[in-house]
Amino acid sequence: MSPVHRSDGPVPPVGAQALYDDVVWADAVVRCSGEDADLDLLSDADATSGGTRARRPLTARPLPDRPGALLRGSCDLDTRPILSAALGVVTRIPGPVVHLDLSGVPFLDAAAVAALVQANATVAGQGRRLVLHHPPYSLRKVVEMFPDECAALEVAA
Amino acid sequence: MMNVSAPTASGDFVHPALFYQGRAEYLAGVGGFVREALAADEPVLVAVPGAHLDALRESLDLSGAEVTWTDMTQLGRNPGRILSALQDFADRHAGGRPPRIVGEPIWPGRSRAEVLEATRHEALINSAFAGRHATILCPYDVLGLPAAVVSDARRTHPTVIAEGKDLLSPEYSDASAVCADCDEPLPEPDGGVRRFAYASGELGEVRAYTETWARKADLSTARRGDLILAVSEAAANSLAHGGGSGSLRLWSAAGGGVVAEVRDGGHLADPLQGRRRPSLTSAQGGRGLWMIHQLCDLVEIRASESGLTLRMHIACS
Repeated sequence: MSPVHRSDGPVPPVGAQALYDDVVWADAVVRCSGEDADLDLLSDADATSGGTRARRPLTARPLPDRPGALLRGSCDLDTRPILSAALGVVTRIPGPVVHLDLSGVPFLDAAAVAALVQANATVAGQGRRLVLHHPPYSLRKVVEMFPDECAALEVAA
Repeated sequence: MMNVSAPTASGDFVHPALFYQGRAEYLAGVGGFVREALAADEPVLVAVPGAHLDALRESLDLSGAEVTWTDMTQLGRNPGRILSALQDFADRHAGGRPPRIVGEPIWPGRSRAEVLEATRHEALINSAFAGRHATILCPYDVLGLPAAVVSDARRTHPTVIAEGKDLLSPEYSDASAVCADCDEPLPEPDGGVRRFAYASGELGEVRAYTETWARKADLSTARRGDLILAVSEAAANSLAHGGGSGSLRLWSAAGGGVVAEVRDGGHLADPLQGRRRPSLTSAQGGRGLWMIHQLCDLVEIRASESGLTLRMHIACS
């Protein structure tokens, strides 16, 4: 978990650097990760569902080569708290451009897209940009259905 | 020339059926309505089947005039999404001159299931536009449509224009009565269709099951994506508003395309739910159902004491 983002780009706006530190990021990634951590946010929901089928938790990790995160897993009602926590961290990553790689996300529902719009507004409000990469079909379709509200979302070509 | 009486006071909603026989009557009735609107500087939306659009455009010859033309066979492919589009148009012109809309949701050749949902739509127009200063004219091809369809148009429209006369319809009925009659039992699919039950925490499994099945069905990649999104929104509604669990059945339709049926313990408290464009951020119902209407080619809705059934039809491409 090296602090690769520190030296990337110009100094972030006031506030962003203060919010960001390795402790916040590392803690959040562990909490959001279902792959190699025993504790993940989905387990709270599982405890009451009584379901026995295989879980597909949503995970988030920092990008190795630029400021941002790689999401892996589906974003829906069942993983909503994890997405919310992950985007809370992503929007605190410093730098003029924050990248969100969705290549490991097969599906986002409308509420997840709404969360991305909100995260985008947060980052834009700091004079910065949130750039989405490799959006799945579901995201593009939701954007098509809600063009005005999703107009601010930036998707890398 | 058939004149459609204009609203007399603010808040009046006018919703006549136009019973036409042949092309000349159609062009005179609908064309006259559009001309009157343009003369009064009222915004006009014409949503009719493509062939009728072409004939109207040619006959009206309105160079530069402000008319919004929409092919109803696309907009109204699923009757459940027409009302949202009509309200969008009226909302865009709110505060200005009252809008005039031509909406032709039923044409010869529509399936029985489509006609039922289109009739439900016609009834719900009256609820959705009650108190709004607007006019929606609905042409009915009385020579080409079954008599029962024409009879139902008398129940869903407060007035009927036929043979040059604009008269009150004595058969006009409350929307809830018409909708109840549209709730015909859904025919069971041929052969045994497996039921996939789901509960909280299992939306990923619902989508995986749907995708695995859809890969073997005759669907384009985009339509498969639409199916998965529609099923996922319906199943999420089961979890959030439908008692926390539900079941899914998938089968191929006889005439091509696929059908996804979601059943749960939900209730449709408001029959207009899903028929008005929601906000992306709205959490309390309506958004999912509205999206399902946009994604599907037909949505059959059956609400009963025991729960809610959604049958979502998606064509091959």
